[in-house]
Amino acid sequence: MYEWRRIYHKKTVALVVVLLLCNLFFFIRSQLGDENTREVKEYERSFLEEYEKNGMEGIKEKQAEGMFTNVNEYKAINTILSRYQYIYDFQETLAKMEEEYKIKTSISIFSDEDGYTMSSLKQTLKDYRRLNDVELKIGNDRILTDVISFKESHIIVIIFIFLITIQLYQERRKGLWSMIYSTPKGRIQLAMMRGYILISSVILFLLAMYGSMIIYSTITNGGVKELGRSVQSVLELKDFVYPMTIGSFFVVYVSIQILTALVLAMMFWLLFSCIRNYKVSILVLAMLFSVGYVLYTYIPIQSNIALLKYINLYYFIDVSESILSYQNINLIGHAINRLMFTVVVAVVFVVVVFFCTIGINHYTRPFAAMGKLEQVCEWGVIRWRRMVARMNLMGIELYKVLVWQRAGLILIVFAYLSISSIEMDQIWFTDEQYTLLEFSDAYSGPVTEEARLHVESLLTLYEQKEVLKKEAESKYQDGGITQEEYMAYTESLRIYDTYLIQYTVLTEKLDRVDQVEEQYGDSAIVNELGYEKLLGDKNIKFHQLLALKAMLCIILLCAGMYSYETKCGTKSVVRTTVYGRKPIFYKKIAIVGLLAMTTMLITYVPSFYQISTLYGLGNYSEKVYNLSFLTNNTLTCSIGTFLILVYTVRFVALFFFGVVTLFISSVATAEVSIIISTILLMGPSILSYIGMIDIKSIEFYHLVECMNLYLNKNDMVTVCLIGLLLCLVGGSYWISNRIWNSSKGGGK
Amino acid sequence: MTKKRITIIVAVIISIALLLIIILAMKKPKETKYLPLGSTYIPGQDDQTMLNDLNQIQLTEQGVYYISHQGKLWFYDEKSKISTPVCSKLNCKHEIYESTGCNALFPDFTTEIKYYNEKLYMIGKDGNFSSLSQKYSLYEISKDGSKRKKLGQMIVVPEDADSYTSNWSVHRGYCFYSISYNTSDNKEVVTLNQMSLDGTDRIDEITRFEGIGASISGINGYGDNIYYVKSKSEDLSYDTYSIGLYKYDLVTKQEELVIDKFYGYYFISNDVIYYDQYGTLVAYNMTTKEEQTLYEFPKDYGPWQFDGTYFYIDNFYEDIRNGLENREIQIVNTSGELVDTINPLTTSECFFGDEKYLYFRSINLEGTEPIRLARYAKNQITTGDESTEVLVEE
Repeated sequence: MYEWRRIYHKKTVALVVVLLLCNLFFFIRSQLGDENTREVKEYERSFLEEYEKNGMEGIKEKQAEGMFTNVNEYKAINTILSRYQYIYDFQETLAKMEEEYKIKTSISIFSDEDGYTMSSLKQTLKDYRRLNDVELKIGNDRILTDVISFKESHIIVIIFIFLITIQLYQERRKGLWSMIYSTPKGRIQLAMMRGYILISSVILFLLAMYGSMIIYSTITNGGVKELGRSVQSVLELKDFVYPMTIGSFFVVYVSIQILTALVLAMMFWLLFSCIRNYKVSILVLAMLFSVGYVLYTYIPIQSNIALLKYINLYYFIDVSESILSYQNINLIGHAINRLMFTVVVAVVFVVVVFFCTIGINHYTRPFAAMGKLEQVCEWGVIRWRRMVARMNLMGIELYKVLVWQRAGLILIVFAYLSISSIEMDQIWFTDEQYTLLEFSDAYSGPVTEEARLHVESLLTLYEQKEVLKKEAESKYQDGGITQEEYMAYTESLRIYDTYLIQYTVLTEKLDRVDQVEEQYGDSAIVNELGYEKLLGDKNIKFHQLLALKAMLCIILLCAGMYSYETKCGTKSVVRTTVYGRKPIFYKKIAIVGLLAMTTMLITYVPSFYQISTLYGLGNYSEKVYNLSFLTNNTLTCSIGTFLILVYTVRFVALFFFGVVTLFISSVATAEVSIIISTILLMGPSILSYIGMIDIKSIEFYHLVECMNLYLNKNDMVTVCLIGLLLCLVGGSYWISNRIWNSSKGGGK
Repeated sequence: MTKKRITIIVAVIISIALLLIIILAMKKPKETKYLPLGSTYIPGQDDQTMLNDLNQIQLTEQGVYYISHQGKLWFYDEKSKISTPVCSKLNCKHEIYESTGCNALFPDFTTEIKYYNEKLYMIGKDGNFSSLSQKYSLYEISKDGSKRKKLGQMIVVPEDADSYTSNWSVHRGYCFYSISYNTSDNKEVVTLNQMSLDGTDRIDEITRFEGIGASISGINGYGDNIYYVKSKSEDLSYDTYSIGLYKYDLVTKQEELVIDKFYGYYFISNDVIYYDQYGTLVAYNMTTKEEQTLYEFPKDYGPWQFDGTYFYIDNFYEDIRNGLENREIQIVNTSGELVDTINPLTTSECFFGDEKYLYFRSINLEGTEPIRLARYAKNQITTGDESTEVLVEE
């Protein structure tokens, strides 16, 4: 019990809770998705209801006749129909498999009785025959797919395992190892207890984590009744060859995830037990993961060494692929189901490593000279420290923030989140958007006669429709063609309507350009679609989320900058040194500037890249008023300059947020600074983002997304926000200055 | 002996062992001597020169391998008369997006196959086809497609090179291939290489030369020799252009010019080279060095082939330019007499074939027809029957 309490002290419990909440938050966020995803889901639900009432005919008709209002409805129809078709064809697919078996076994190259190929054929048929009596039913498959497609949970599990395993050997870092080793229960019994705690922790954490996800998914995707359907009803699980309900599958899925997490936990525990220096253990773990990644990624499944793909640490991070797809592994000429192989290997590994690690804990003595690797590391550390010691004040401060206060890690995490959140899937453009894109690409720049002629030619093409229609009509009246032929022909002429749509859209575009020419005397055709996404308010939720992310990042980065000195007890010492007051004060502000710039870049560069790749940005030298949503803007600079201005404003806003957090950290611990800064700077913004309040003048995220500023909306809001922020900066500066720079302050 | 001394001795032994391993790994594998097998064609061992040089089908005793343009490998079984993708997975639909890892799909490979000693050989790009990598390796694939093994890197295109061409052939335990790439001074550097298929990863350079438009093409293995066409020019005017048929003796490792001023296709049978001399079919006896004119090729012809009994002269290339309206294959005997003219599959490309069949692949001009491999039995020649048997259809 003491070990439980030692490991699960307040801080660990808080971190575990944060991890669980983070997991649930990201899961809910991934489920909610963007507006399009929500709309697709809504359509899917309504189609399922329609199917239950009237069958699939109505939906099929909609698809056949193209009766969908937008792309999202089209996507939903396709999803439902493909799932329906899969269920409809399921028994036929199984029957075909039987036939295919007969064919394959009659072909000379596959028919070696003792070979792997024949063994694989037999095994596959045997496994799929289990599904012969399974009854499939269409339903809301997202109850399951949302859970199994959520990959971030694997990262959370690794963080949790690392957190717990590092807690196991605290005594080694605190110099108490020899004392504990010499106690009667300090060896095998303690190791067994630790193993038990580790295993229990992993099981409980994964149960809580997947439990919360499954409950949420069940509530939002059709309710408990969905759990009774057979799991093979879900298209993604078509190759899962064990008949069971979705509810039972969740139990199996979580059990497998627990088992694979235990593999990782045992490996972590083994290495932390074997290697005295925990930093070296982390290095070895990183190497094992890297080697595993290379093996898993680059060995083709047809290779002679394909087994190495599945016997490595990286594979066990996420074994979903083995659950979702059916594959056999060649084990000395015998075909073994990959999922079963994974489970057996995991069980054997966990049991063997559990007992080995207990043995290692018993025999590893606390007193030993440094190992060769540790000596090499020590040599490197000494040289590294010497190099750090030679740095100037700015360098040292930066090093402290990035390495000791783990700002580097925070930046990496945020950069990962930022990059992973961008989707590079091909965009579905509407006809109007596509027309505008093509036109802008072909005729970008000042309006030419050629561009106008192109637009006019579209009208001419459309007018041909009437001529052709009249010709057909006269033929029909003369008896040259039948009524059916005439009807079919006139129906085919509907293609000409697209020319009219294109003409209308492009005429509007040219009219706008002409208006700009009249107003400013300098107009150009610009591809606006990308800029509308990048800067326009149609995508405001996305911009607000980016702003919140950036604000959280800068708060986390700056919250420990002063409090670290207090925490280490060096505050008084630092203040007595030559550079300990004003110079260090200004250096810290300069570092906040660097961090603000980095935050701005990692937040906005991925989204800029995404939009420029998918929609195509360009025309940077054209004037900003050529963008229709910025025509009334008072600025007359080029688009390129305007972009620089926007990102500069974002940087400045983030810099001020960082400065406020820095000053707050001078009077509080890092944790308290984070809480105060988050409440002060982000609280109203978060409440506004989730729709609970709407008091724009205290929602600071408007300063980062800065749309109010350039869209000429709510000028007073911007003034209020800037004023409020400056007050915060001034107030916190005054307090911080008194404590750190004044000879009277900081008495404690 | 002290513990320290033991540690030092162990460290020295390990260091020496490591050093030896590194030296052995760096050392080129010992050259294996080529044992002469004679000039008779050995099925399963020799280059299948009776097929055209598209390298899309290979004939074996058990059946026919065919790789489609989409990179899907098919097998037609002679015993059961059934064709199937070379993948034994029952749950696989053999589509590119399959998560099963289909054995019959080769998306990162060139669509060419060679057969030797119960194994298939293909060239795959290192990385994947969308990557910028310009490195290609030779792969050995088991007959049932379940195993793939990278034998060694064949081609590395230098970064400063504009392009490369490669012509390859598998014959009696070796892969012979040429590499040609542009240099900065507008010249091409060409090498003919020989890679052993015994897994030793040994590559030997047979010949190397450079020049304007330099190339090696038509690599074919006959008996204990490799034949190929070398061409190059000394300057941009092309006045110094030279082209000739060369022979490389696998036993003596000597290169020899066989015919100077040589163009186009050639086939070798019983020490006689049959080749196209400016529109005339000529037989050149390598022993007596005598040349004999056999047949005047028709106006629009190409490609053509000789199976030891008949010459098959196809007008496919010309006819495809004219919309495939007058497609025909002339069949000529070794005395130069036109025996028959057949027109079995007007829109299909002929791979030619062995003594029993001519193989045809449908070319999908409109993108509407299925991909089809069919064959025409040669016992129908002179009978007027032009029926064909479909082997693969997808």
